[in-house]
Amino acid sequence: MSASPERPSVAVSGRADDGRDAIEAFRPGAGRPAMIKTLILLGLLACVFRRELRVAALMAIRNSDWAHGLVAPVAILILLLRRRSELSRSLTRGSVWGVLLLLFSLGLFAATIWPYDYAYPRAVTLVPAAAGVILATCGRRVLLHSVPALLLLLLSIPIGQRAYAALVIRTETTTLSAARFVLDRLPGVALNLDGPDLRFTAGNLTGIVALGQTRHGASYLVTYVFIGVLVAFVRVRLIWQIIVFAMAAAPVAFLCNFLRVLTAGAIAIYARPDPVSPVSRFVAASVSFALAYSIFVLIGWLMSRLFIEDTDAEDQDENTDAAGLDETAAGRA
Amino acid sequence: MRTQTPPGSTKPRPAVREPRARDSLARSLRSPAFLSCAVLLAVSAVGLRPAMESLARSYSKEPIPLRRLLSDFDVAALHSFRVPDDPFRLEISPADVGTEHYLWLDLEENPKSDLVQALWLVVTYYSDPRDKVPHTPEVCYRQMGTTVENLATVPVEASGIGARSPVRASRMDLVQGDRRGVLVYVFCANGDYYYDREQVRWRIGTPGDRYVYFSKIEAIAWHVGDAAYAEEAVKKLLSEALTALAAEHFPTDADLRH
Repeated sequence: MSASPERPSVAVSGRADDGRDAIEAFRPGAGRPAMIKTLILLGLLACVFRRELRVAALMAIRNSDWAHGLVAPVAILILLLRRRSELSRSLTRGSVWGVLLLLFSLGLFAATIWPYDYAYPRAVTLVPAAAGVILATCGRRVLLHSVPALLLLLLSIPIGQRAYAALVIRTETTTLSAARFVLDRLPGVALNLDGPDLRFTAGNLTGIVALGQTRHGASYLVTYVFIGVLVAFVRVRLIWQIIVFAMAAAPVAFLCNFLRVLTAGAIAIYARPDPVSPVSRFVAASVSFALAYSIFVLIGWLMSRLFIEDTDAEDQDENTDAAGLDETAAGRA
Repeated sequence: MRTQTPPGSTKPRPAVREPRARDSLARSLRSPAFLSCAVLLAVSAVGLRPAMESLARSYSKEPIPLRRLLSDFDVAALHSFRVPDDPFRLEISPADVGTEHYLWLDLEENPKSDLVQALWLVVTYYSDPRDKVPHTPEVCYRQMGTTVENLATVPVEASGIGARSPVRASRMDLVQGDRRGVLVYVFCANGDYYYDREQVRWRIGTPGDRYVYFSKIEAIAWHVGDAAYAEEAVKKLLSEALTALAAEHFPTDADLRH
């Protein structure tokens, strides 16, 4: 059994950007100045991006596609609290690269005001700017642990309506066609797709599946991914598990969107609610959110269960290695 | 070498002064990285946006008029097409298209084909730097109840535009009940051709030109049966329209620089 001579020093010092800084940061209460500095800088950052944050808040209130932006602060706080021990362990004095990243982000922010007038990229520069602040005040490893929170921030920034409409057009058309295909096979039901509208005939009744959104067939896509990110990062996971979640995010979002349309269609055909009533849309959206959450939780559970033997084996190896190291250390002593 | 304290020794350890939290915070707040970030952000919060908006006003590009109005478009320049005896007239207001400079033509092939029921040519021209690049047909037609399928890009040859030919244009199938159509459109922005509105936004924002204009040129063929024939017809219409517009109507590269 061989043990790398570097391994104990890495384990003991928790070396990050600077090993000495990391050791110093382990002192009780050492995280408080870093937290205060970060909060001060994030407050100033919010002042720089005040217009973009205001637009995001208004969109979250007015447009259900971006309503998850209202829970984003709580979700980010939950992720940070769940990782507080990793964050405090990873704390260093920060890096000058953070200042450069912040400078670069503010440069991009300026360029999206003039000469290029792009509202969405302008708002998105908030994310690298926040990353720069964290890197400057807390160091690289804290930044790595903050990536999920930054991802939630990114997903909460609303995309412009014209750009979003152009982006989702293929998804929307495919989803509506698939929903028409499935609902058309229900007994006594015939469906037609007119543009973004699903029109049905069931017995003597004709009607429309009122999805109630401008982009009827492709809503809440970002919300499903938001749920996925929250479920994936609420626990500290191995990198391959994160990759699996990332690969599953888009298919799960499309599937949940399809089932939302399908549920709304089934409600419209069989429950026959008032087309202007938001109840069927609310039910369909709620079902799809619950489904997205369940699928992502299931993916996480499967990964932790199916590969538990490998994890055990790895743990055993690590314990054996650690025992070997202890023996070596005892021999030296 | 390790030193050992004899058993029973009561020698007190030297007192280590624990830094107070307040001292630690004060020292931390004086760190160069924090101060740099704080100054950078404070200055940006106060002055960055006003400064960039001021620059945008100072260096705003200017509108440039068409060399020849679109209302004076000569249909004879479209050699393979003609206006039918009883053309369909669509009522369009400037508010609908966001500009006073637009052209909507109902055409037929010359000689007429039974495979194509109707051919439409739609051109809009924008030159106000504050103009927004309009919705693209795949978005607009859907909102009018049309099903849009098979979105793709196709090359369109056009003479008279030099090395910019062939231009890459967006193509889609339209379904309106029993009616089927093929639509091909392209943007022209300051003499360059794009199939995507984001590319147009990038082009009109790029510094260099004193003047700015952009135009959307779309051709639609409503057809029965084979979509391939309709696609060829609509590409030919777009090709001839691009040649005519570049030759007679749109500002030249020299106009844009002067």
